[in-house]
Amino acid sequence: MAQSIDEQALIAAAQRGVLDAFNQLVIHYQKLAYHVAYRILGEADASADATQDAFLRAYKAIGQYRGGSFKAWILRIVTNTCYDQLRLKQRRPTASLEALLVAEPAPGPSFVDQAESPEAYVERQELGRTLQAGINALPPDQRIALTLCDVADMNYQEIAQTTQVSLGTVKSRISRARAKLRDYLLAQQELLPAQYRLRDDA
Amino acid sequence: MVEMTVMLDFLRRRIKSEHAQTQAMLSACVDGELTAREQQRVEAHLAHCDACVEELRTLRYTKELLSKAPMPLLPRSFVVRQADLEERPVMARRRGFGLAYAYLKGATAVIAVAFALLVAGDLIAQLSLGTSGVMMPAMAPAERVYEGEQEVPVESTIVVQKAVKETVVVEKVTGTVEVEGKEIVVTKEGEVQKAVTAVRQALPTASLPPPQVEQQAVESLTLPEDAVGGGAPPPTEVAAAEKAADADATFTPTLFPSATPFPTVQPIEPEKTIAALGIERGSRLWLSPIRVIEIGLGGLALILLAITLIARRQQP
Repeated sequence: MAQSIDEQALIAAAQRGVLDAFNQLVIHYQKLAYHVAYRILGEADASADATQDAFLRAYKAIGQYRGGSFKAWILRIVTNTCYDQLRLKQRRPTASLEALLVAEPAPGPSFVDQAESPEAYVERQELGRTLQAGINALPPDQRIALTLCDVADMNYQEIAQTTQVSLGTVKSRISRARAKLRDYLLAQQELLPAQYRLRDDA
Repeated sequence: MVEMTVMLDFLRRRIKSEHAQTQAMLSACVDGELTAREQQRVEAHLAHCDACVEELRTLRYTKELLSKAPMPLLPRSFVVRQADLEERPVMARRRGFGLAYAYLKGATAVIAVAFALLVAGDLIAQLSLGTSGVMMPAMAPAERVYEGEQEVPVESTIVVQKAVKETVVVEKVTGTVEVEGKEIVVTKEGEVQKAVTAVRQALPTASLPPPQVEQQAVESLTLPEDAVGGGAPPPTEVAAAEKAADADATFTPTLFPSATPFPTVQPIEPEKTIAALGIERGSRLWLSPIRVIEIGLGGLALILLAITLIARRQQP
C-alpha cells in the first residue's frame, strides 16, 4: 500500500476524470475500506452501503486530494461516512447499541474460510462476533481510532491525519478503547472459545 | 521514625503515579508508538510491577485478537459505475424540478386569485351601475370619427372625454371641414363657431344642425346603437329643420350633434383589432378591454392549472 509511482499516476488520471483509473484505486483499497467500515458499523449491509457511498464521495472529491497518504485520505472519507451513519442510527434508534449487545449479532455473512477445520471456523466466527459486540459498546470516536490502528494497521500519526485530531488525542482514544475492549472480553470469557481466552486459569 | 514514614509515603506516592503513568502508556507501547525515553521508563516500571506486566499482556492479546479476527468477504465490488455517478445529478434535477413545481403552483394560485378578483370586481361594478353589457362610461373610447358625405364632404372629429348621466358633454371639438376644396381645420372649441359660420357662408344650402335637434342628437350619442342604426333623418326633415333654423342659429360646441347633420354616419373604432373583427361597440359581440383582460387571465389560469396537474403527476 506504499505510495508508489503507479498509485500517483492513477490518482493523477482519476483527477483528470478517468473513471477506470479511479476504479483501479477502488480495487486496491475496497477490502480495507469495507473492513474498516464493518468494524465501525458492525453490520454487513450498512458497511457495504457506506463503502460504496464513500468511494462515490471520493471520486467526486478527488480533485481536492493534495498529496500525502492516499490511504489516509480515502479512509478519512470512509470513516466520515461511517460516522454520519452512526449519527443517523443514533437519531433513529431502530438498532440501538443495547439491542446489538443483548441480541447476539447476526452471524457474519461469509467469513474468510482459509481451509480450516469446521470447528476452528466456528470458533473464529464466535471470536469475531464477540469482538464486534465489544467494539459496538465503544463510543464512535474510540471505535474509529481503534479500528484504524488494529484493522487498517495505521500508525498514530496517520490516524491523527485521518481523524483530524492531535496525536495526544489519538493516543488517549486508543488507550481507552483497547482497555475497554479488553475488559469486555474478560467479562465475556465464556463467550470466547477456550483458545482465545485471555486467562486460561479462569 | 516520623521522617521514615514520610519518606515511605513519598516513595509510595511516586511509585503510584509512575504506575498510573505507565498504565496510560501501555497501549502505545503495544503499538510501538513510544519514544525511546518513554520506552525506557515503561520498561523500568515493568521490571518491578507485575500488575502492569499483566496489563500489557492482555492489551497485546486484545490487539492480536482484533487483527486476526475473521472479517466478512467483500459482498460485491465497490467499483464506481458511470450510472452511479449519473444517479446524483438526476436527484439534483428532481430537486430542481420540485422547486420549479413549487413556483408553478404559486404562479397558478396568484393568477387564479387575480382572475377571480377581476371577475368579482367587474360583476359588482356592473350590478351597481345597473348596466348590462354596456361598458362603463369611464371606459368609453375617447375618440369617435364621423364621416359624412353630401354635396359637401364634411369631416369632423368629436372627442368625447366625459359622459355624465345621459348627457354627453363635448369638451373639445376638432375636425376638418371641407368646403369646395377649401379646408377649415377646427382645433379649438372657440373655432367651431367660426368654422360653422364659414361653412354656412360658403354654402347656404348645406345642412347644418338646427338647435331643435340638439337634444335628440345628444341622446343618440349616449346610445350608440341608435346612432349607428338610426342613420340620418329623411332629407325632407332635414330641409324642414334647416328652414326652421335661422341662418344665424347659434351653434353650441359643448353639445355637438352627432348623427343628424350627416346622412351616413360610420363610427370608426380606435381599437383596430376590434374594428378589424367588424364588431361594433355596443353590439353584443363587442368586447370591452376589461373583458379581454378577463378572458386572457382566465385562459392563462386554465393553462397553468393544466401544467400544474401534469407536473404533479410526474412529481416523485
